Amino acid sequence: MSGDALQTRDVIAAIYLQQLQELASEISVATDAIAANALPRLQESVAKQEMLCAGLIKLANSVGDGLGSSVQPSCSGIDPAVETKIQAASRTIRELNLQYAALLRHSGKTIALLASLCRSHTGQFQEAGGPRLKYQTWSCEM
Amino acid sequence: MRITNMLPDVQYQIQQSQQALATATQQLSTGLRVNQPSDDPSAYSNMVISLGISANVDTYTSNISSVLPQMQTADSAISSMVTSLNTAITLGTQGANGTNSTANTQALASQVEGLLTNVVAQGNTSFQGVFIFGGTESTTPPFVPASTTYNSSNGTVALPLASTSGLTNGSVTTVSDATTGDTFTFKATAGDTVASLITAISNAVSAGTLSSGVTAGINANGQLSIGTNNPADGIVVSTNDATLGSMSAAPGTAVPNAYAYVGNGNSNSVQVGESMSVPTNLPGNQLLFSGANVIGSLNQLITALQSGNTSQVGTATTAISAALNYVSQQRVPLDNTISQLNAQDSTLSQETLNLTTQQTALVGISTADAATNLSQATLENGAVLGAAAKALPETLLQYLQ
Amino acid sequence: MGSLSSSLSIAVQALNAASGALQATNNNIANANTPGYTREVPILQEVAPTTDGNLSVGGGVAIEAYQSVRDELVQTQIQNETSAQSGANAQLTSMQQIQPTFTTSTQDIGTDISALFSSISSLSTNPSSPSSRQAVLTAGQNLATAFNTASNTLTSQQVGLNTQVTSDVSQINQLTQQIAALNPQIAALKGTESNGGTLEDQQNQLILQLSAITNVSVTQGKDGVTLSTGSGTPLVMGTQSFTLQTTTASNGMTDVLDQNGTDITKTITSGDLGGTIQTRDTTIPTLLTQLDTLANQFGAAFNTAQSTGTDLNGATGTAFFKFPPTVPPAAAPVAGSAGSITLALTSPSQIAASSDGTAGSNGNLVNFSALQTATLPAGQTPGDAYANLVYQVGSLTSNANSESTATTASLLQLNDQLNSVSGVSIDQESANLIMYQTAYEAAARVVTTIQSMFTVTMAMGTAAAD
Repeated sequence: MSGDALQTRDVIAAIYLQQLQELASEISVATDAIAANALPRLQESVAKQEMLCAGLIKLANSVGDGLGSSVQPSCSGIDPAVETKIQAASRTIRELNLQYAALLRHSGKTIALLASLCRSHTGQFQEAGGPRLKYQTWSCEM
Repeated sequence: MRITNMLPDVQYQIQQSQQALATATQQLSTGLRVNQPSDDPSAYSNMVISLGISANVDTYTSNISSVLPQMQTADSAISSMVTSLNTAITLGTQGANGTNSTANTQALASQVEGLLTNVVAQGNTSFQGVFIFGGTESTTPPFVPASTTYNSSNGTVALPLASTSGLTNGSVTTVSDATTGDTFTFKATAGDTVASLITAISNAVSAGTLSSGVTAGINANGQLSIGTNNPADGIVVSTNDATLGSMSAAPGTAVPNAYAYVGNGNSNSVQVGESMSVPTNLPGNQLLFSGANVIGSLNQLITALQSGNTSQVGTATTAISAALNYVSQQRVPLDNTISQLNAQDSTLSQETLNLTTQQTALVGISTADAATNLSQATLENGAVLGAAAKALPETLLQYLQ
Repeated sequence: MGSLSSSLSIAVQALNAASGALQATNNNIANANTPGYTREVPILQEVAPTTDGNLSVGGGVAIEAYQSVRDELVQTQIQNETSAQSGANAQLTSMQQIQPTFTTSTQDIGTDISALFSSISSLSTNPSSPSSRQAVLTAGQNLATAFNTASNTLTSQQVGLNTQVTSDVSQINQLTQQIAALNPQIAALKGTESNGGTLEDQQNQLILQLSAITNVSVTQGKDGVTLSTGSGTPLVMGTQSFTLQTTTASNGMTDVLDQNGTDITKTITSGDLGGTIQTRDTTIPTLLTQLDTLANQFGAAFNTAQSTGTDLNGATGTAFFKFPPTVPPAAAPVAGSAGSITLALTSPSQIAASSDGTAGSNGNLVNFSALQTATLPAGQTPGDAYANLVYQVGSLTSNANSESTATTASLLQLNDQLNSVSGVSIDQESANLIMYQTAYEAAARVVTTIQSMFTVTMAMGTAAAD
């Protein structure tokens, strides 16, 4: 591969690494937001995560292009130091992702729980008047 | 949200930070980020596979250091044979010119005899208890002095063996011929008799495995006798048949300077790389008999010198030149293999380096990183304990270790 | 206020139906835009109730009603999380005791497989050497021993977990008795001026302890608290408690029965009992089967290689490994192979290295070496099969660990909420339901994306792809 192509790859790999680290940090933010029941913070974080993931996939494709699977670690075409950091960041995200997934599972269950509570709730709600009437409607079934 | 009971929170945080501290400490002392499968299952299992490959590389390296000396020994033995053959040619050339006295030619004959003895001795080289030129028959010397007659230990005048005497099922009898360099092997099956063996030997002569003149029969003493009527030829016979007992050379029938090859033509190969195996031995019959009869040609020269017939000496010397060419050619593949092994040794060293790098990438952590993690964790641990101290002065003692 | 409290009947079968669909439909239930309530701000207006679909709407909003609904919710969540945490911890404890057997050392199976192949390769350089032959026998026995050890670790875990089942069931029975005993006492104090709070707290604590052992559904009724487990097995109803029993199945495992003798073992999915059963009946058997298969097929392959060559005395090679009490050459059954495998050869001369009948030939050894890169009937090479097993053990341990950590963090948060005193509008919370659900679904998609990205990232031009 040409020296130019190598250099571009290194540049892209560096950006990839940076975005991986941002993603890791974003997952931490989201986890905290779930734990604190801070919905707006969570929504913001998830949107950022979606953007970062899309960007990462695109970057990975442009780095991985034409490399194929090589058996020799020395023929990767990326600066080995960056490569090591990318692997490390990747692993961190994977661990965070596991916890994130677990929290999401449990929080999801809470929602279903609350929904069923509401179903059997025979208490009384106040109906609003004025322009805010029916601004958001919902019901739930189990 | 008002938090009325801080204790569980603080406990949890202290626990977490102590966990982080323990992890960072372990990383620093082991140099490993991944110490057990759960730390990173895919990295760990990849490392397990990588370690398997490393173990193989280590084995290949040690195999090379085992076989290389054996092959180098074989090479020096052949080198010594080549030197002897060169000397024989010189002596033969000298003996072929008509200016020698009888005493001279006798002296030359005697020197060539010495050279022959050396060639045979080289052929019987053993390396760490293994006779390296015997093929896979490596437990006994492959070149054995030949005689004209071998007789069985069983069979007497009173109780002679007969052609109808039955042989033991599965027994093996071998006849090795000094002229052809071949070995005839007879494996007895149920119903075979001494007659079967005699017939088989006759067939082997017709086939050319054994020289013409080799016969077998019951002698006047009632023994099975196998022999040759060609005074320049010799044979070596062995058996494990209970009916025959053992075979031994009849006294006084040793043929001077005649040797038969009792090894086989098989070779072993050893793996020294993922897809690289090398033959580790050169069978003696391939070396000294198949291209040219090296021992026979030296014998021929001795006889010619002893008889003083200069034209015979000339012929014999020419035969030895042919033999020398052949032996030199035999050396080439051996030398190539030796070079290959040396090169492979370097390749394996490099491979070990690559594998170690790969394994470190998978599970290792640099000392710098580990140290950073440790100081970070220590800092946080200190902060948590400090915060706990402010919040719960009376319970701080519980957390001091 | 009394009528409001009593009209609150909270069906908590949600615990079992947590995976049920949450359907948002448009319905004319207005979002209450009442401001957030705190204890300091007393309540509000009365509006005539209307009925729409499954819900009654309208009416006054009582802070105590919200508070107790919220408390019930949080309490239920705490029970759930406690069950999940205990279940994860049961699995984690077991896996942490299993994992060292599959951690690389001088004597784990992977190292010993490598050592056996190495000893055979070394033997090929000098096939008649007594010391090299002995080294092969030693390596073979070491491997057999490693298999035995791994098998014993797994089966003795099972034995321990089995005992735990009995002990958990007995604890459950103790707790349900105590809980049932409190029901009439608590009921008696309702409607009086006395505060039943302390007894209720006591009962809540017992229910929490019960949640730590098994999955529990809690329903409040006029007779007190009704508890069930599994998929509807009653535990406490009114003043009555229902005992669970244990029985030994034909495979030696302890099963759990309800009071009528029906087997409910598979319905216990959470708590220490659930985690114990899951580990004993699913996790460990899966690992054990793979281990047994590897031992069985590896041993058989080695025996086949022996049979194609001759030993130092020229005789055809006999079996290398045996699986007592199976008598070779009959094929041993897979189950129990790892526990029973042992070396069958008794002398170094019996190794069938030769391919031509001579003592100096190494021609048959290549048939042994080939096994390192050949796939066993199960589909993988011996080394890969073992690495796969290691991966599974690591994953199971790591997942249990994550689950344990996550549930602990969750419980902390929940306990904080329970102890806190501020009020939040339930309408506000319910209005957030859809937004939360949407956010969680989006986050779950990200989780999946990240999981699949990991493979891509690791394969980025490196050899360490997984």
